[in-house]
Amino acid sequence: MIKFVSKPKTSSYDAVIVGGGHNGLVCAAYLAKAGKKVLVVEKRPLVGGAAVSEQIAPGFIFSTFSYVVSLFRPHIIRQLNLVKHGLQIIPMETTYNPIPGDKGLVRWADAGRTRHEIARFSQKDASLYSEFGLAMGRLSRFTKNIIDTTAPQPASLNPKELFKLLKMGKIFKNFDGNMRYLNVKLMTMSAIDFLQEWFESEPLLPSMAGSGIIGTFMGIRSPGTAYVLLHHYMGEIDGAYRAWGFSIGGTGQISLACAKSALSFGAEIITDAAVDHIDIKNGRARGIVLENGDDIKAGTVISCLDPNRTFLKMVGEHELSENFITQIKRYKNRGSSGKVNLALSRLPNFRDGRPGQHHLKGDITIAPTIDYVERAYDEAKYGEYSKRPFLNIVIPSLSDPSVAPPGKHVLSAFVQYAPYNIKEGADKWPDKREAFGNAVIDTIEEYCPDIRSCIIHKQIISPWDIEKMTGLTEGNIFQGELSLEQLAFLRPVAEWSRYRTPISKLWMCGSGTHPGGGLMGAPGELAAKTMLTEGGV
Amino acid sequence: MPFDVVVIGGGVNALTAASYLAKAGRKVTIVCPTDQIGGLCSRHEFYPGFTSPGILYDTSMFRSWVVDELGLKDHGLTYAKSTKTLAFGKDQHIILSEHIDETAEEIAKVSSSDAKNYKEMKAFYGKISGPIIQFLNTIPADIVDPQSSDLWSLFKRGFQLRKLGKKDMLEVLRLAPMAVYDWLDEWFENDGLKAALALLAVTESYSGPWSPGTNANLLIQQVSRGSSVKGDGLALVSALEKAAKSFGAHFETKAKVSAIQPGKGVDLEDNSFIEAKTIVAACGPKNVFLEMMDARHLSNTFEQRVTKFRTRGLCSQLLLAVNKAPSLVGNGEANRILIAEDLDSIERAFDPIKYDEVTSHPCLEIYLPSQEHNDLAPTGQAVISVLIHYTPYSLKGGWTGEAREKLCDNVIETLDNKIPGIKQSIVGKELLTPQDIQERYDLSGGQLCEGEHALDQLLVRPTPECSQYKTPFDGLYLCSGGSFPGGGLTGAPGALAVKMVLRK
Repeated sequence: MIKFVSKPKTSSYDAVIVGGGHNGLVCAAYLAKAGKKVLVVEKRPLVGGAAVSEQIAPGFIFSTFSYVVSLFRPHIIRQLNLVKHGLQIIPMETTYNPIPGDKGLVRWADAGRTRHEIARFSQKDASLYSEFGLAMGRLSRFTKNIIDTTAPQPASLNPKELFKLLKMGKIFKNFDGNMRYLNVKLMTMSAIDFLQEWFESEPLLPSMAGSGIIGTFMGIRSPGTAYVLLHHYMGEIDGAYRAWGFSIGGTGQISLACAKSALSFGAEIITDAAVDHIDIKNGRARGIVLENGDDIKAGTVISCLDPNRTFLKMVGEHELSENFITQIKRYKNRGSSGKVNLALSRLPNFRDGRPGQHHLKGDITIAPTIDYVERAYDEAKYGEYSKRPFLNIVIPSLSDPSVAPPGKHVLSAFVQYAPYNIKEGADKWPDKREAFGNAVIDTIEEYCPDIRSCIIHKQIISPWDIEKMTGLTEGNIFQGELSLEQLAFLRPVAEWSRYRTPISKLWMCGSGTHPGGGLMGAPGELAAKTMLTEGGV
Repeated sequence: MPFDVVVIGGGVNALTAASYLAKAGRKVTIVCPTDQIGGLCSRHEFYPGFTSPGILYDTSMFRSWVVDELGLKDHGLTYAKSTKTLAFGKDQHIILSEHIDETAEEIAKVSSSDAKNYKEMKAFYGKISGPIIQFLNTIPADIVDPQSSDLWSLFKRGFQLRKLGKKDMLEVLRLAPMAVYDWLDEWFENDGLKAALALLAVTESYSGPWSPGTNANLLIQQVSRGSSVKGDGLALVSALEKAAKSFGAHFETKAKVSAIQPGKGVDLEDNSFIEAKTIVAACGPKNVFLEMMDARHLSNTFEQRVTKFRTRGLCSQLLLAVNKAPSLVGNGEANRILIAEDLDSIERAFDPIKYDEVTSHPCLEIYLPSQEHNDLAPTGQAVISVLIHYTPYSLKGGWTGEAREKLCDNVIETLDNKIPGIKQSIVGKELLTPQDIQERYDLSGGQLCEGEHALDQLLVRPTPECSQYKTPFDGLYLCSGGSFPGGGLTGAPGALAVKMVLRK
């Protein structure tokens, strides 16, 4: 374990990073590696932001918020020596969809076995499943090109930018007609419409479509969700597509590895140090002021916080133009999900007649029918949490015994939908938290009748709690919704999609910038590289 | 005696295409499946003495350049001075018209800031309309299999957009994929106003105001709207019919096509054959390829793509025969009425159709045709057309007599709330569910736009092979609302398809 202090060594740095989320740490590591004197300032006692592991009950370690890894960019792992610093990821081998009174559907790493499982529901779907995977894999290469570079600027007349657009056009052109058509559809359709062009059976359809809505305030029938499906095929661990995994010791270990890497390059990290505001004079950032009144000078200030918090709380409206403020205020955060973390005395019994535990080692998706998932969304639109939510459950202790005492388990359920803005008002969440948790446990109980008798401890996290605990505005886990109008050259707002801000010497590096949220490390890396090449630091 | 071209269908696009082709000197015949010309703007008696004006009536998006090029004004077409829409919100009403200042004054009665923002929003649409109108009035670029001419066309569109300036260009790119809900929320505070602006934009596809992409439909409507034709859809059809005849087009009514033989002609159901080298189909793509063509001639991929073209019907029509013209607020000048309380109530009306259920609180779009057309109802009496948003194509349990009555009752109740006394004046009615609409008008799924208006189905409409009105079959072209830029009384698919036909 590394211990962090809450006092900086000196009072002046080349760059100070506000917020020790994984992107802030990645950014710090890259800047320090380039020889800059960097300080990361984190308000909580531990680093990682929404990527943290915490001991919630004695001996039980939870990935409190973010719980699986897939999109973390492999080149960042290499360039920052994250493996040497303790990063270890075990691939998830299954996706399981329980159905009450049935064996359910398990998709295995083994293609043949998966085909056999799907065939129980539809022969046609079984035969198309691997073809679909191949097509998506090919398409994700196109998307990779977008997430691994700064956002294209279609309005720019700079030849370099035009060249970049042309290059993307060329990749597009190199696809055959079928793939191009698929790409057009993928960028615009709803997850369900898109999948229904291939498949016909439940629970395959809602299970696959579920990955298109995670973290968004959209339903599986909402246009624009098909694109997010691709992320599931873009996940890569050691270069293998469609691989998701657990970080040994919980998601926090990823953040710790990033922190250790940053420290090894000479960066400094302080915790328990909340920033009060960014010090700005004449439209130029000069440093930060901590809540305890300490003043830290910096050549460049970099915010890893979401755009809303950065500009409305840390900078202040008086420093910004009215137009910019309007754009920041209409940037949609709208948290839509919660978490229920359970410490279990034993493994609950899924009533599915399947032998062994192997099928429980990956993620378990509660999405039995299309209508089930869509109805969950319908409730959320009018400010209610879903009575029967879409759940993505993992039991990481099955793969990583270090996170629970022997024989005991941790179960972590990602819950959607839990709108931040409930109709009673967001600040009424504490009154609703228990009922919300019960709805989740009731749902699980339909599949594991003995779940209640296994619970030793529970942690219920509403989006309001996420905001309180991590600072993420409205509890949005991506620092702003991943909807088309908030992506790429529009993230977070038009003309400020290159990590710069209207305040000179103030930059952004969080998931509220291109390419967005989802434990990628990419915003932190791209921000650092942009600053280094453009003389930002 | 062979024709040069046979045009299948009898609606606005068929008439537009036939007129252009005849004007260009082609020997054209229109084969219309029904006895009445007009497609979705054709009449039928639904109750003794009362005649339906059809389903579509809004002509404000009919292209003015088509009116000019076909000389429709010489054939009786005139523009209405003003078209007023009475929009009922929860406890308010607003009268909307194409006059911005007049509408803003109306809005000011419910919110002064909304009145100001309405003018600003209209000014914004005005500013950005150029490149979007260009885009909508040009044969679309083939983005799936682009040739150099397509790339050039795309480049030109991009350049025109860039000429708006960086800020506006980025704003257009931002707003298109948005949900109408979010966009209108950025501008306005009054619920009734937002609902009135959103309703017609979201009901073209399987979507409610919360659905991303619906804002593109609102954008297209807002920039394409101009003056309405006096006498609405029926008058437009009559002018087009006269124009087509004046150019020498031949008409054949009650002629249902049973089979298309590309390059040769069409077989009719009465076993006659019409010979023509070129066939222009102004009926839905699914009708053309899945009903009128021999499946053996379609490649697997192509057949799949046509099948997957989404044509889910979402709306029913209730035709009412009333013995007394309804008395409306606002001097009775309005001949359209919208009933939608707020954006959430539209969304709530949409929700049930996803589960094949129907709402008990529908949003209504009402058209009163008798003001212009006094031949539709006996003197002093009237016809009311009510479009019910939303209703599913297949209702759980089926569209039984009971289910239909329940829907009618709900609609009439909602109407009577806003227009007191209407319930007592009803003497006859007819309900057309999406299935009935499909049956009567030969529309796949009963989808009024001949294909949902969603982003993917705008950029590639209906399939990559046919996105430029051509088809995989020599001599066969498409020109219905199922082609770019989509359904509604625009005349654009008809006019643009002819350009493609004449190119060859």
